[in-house]
Amino acid sequence: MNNPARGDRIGDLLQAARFALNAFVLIAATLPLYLLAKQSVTPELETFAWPPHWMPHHLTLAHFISVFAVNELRSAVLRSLGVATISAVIATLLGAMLAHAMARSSFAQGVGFSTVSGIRLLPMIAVAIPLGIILASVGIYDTPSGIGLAIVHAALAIPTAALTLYASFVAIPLEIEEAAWIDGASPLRIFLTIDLPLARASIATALILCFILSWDEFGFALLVQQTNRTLPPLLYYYTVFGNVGPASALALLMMIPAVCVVVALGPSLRGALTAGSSR
Amino acid sequence: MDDLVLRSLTRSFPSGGGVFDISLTVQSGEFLVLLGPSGCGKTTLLRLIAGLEFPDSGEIQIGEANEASNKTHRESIAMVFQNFALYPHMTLFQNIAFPLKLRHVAREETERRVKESAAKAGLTVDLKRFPRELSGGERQRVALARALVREPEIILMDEALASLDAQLRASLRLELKEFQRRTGRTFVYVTHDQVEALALADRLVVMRKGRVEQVGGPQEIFDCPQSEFVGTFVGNPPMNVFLAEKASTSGSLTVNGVDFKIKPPEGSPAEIRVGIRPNDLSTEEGQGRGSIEVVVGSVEFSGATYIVYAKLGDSPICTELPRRVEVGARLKLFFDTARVHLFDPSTGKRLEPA
Repeated sequence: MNNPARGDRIGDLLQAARFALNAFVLIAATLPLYLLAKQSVTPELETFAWPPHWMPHHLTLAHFISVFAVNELRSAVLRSLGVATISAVIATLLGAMLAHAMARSSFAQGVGFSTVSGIRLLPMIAVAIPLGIILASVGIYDTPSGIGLAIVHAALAIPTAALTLYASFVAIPLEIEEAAWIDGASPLRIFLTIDLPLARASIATALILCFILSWDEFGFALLVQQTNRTLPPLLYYYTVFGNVGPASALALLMMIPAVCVVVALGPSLRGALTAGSSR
Repeated sequence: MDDLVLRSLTRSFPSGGGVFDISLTVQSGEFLVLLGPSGCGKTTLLRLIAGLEFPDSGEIQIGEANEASNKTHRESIAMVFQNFALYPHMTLFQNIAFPLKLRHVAREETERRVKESAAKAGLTVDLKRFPRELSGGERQRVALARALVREPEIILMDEALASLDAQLRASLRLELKEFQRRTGRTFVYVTHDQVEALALADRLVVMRKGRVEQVGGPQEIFDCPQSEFVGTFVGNPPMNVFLAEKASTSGSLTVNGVDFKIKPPEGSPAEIRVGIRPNDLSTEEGQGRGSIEVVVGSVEFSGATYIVYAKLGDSPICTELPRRVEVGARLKLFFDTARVHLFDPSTGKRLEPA
């Protein structure tokens, strides 16, 4: 570059362009969140003001209070928490076993990867009706506890858990397991006392990912828990029936777990999400 | 304690490796070393003994076959892995106590036995620490203590010193031998390092391509190699080997026209491989000694001696001399004809001179 001033000018332009792009992305991402937050504290009447207000003229906490006061909402929050927790634990435990098998045997690896990808490619909702029939026949369709849905969500989340954990099991040297075997440990014992503790960071990540997966899941939740609803379908009903205020408050509350996760394990999550994407 | 008996053990891998038809008896309390180049099957053999691999055929037996023994195979054997395979998430105490915990040994006894075997293994660090905080040598001691804590009859070691630096390796080698004498356990030790093997072994098993080449004491292996492979593999610098012809007049062996004054056995092939160790060649003259004349190519100083690389005619030859010689000098070397090894060129087996 024989003219340094010209090079600087191009650099400045690039800098400005990058800044503008960042600003655009930031606004595009936060504007809906802002509107949601605004709606959740705007009184019912003002919600449908025309032209819409950018800033609420009056503030209220009524919508948040109603989320906890209305019985239906409160039980949905508890049910969602329960379903997400149970399904995350089941999926992580079974996913860990699958991932361990995939990490240790080439046969299991082949079968595992094709099954996991197969399940992910399958249009899930296509199996909804047979699934509903099976759940009904064992008597766990639309129960207040939501156990049927928890099992369905666990099944959905196993591939995610397995892919998250696969890399960390591969990283555990086989020698350590062999040493434990010679020391007299059974295979299950080795899995529980050697492998799981050594993969604990990934286990935590898998638990959280599976939790969020269930927490957000809409399709099966709508079908399997027709009357004893979890949060996503409930939110949907609130929205379509025009309860915009409580729906907004609920939507904000639903984001809490996701926000916590991103703040708490941002860096390690990035690794876990890409792990398994290229084996 | 009981002997470990291997009967025509075979385990082959699709890659072509493995071990083939190995029969061996390891005496109780003996330090047995499996030696061979990488890929010779020594680790496979050790893993078969450990029970980490299963033989295609043959059997492994500890103790008398008809003796009612309630100890299982795994119970009699402990193993120290190449990278020690300590449990990284456990403290040293938990590492050493792990085999006892699996056997539901009471707390006080666990504590006593862990301390005891840590002391036997020469472990002086705080047992509340974690493996990652230790140096390689200390980790090795932890692995030994863990192997010892449940009082196995046989301790297997797979290249257990290979990942340590040279100085530490030498001092631990000495200690290991001490340790074995003190505990009276049977050791089966795998290594590709012939110096280590000669230093440690009561008995050596030299392996090649999945088969046993020779079994014997270190001195016997060194002095009387049963094949050219054993002769050249054991010993450093390696044995010089030449192709010799039978001289038509005297009937003795000649290399590049130089008479070695050794008669080959009756009915041996026309050409014979002749081996002589570098330290069996010297500049001192003597009665009844053979002699050769060489041209010095290069000289290496090894501390106590000089390693001289020379040419005998067209063949390279190596010798160890106590004093420096000039590069390019002509040198007369003498050797004891009894220290010359003869090998069949087609089978590689040892031949005894006539």
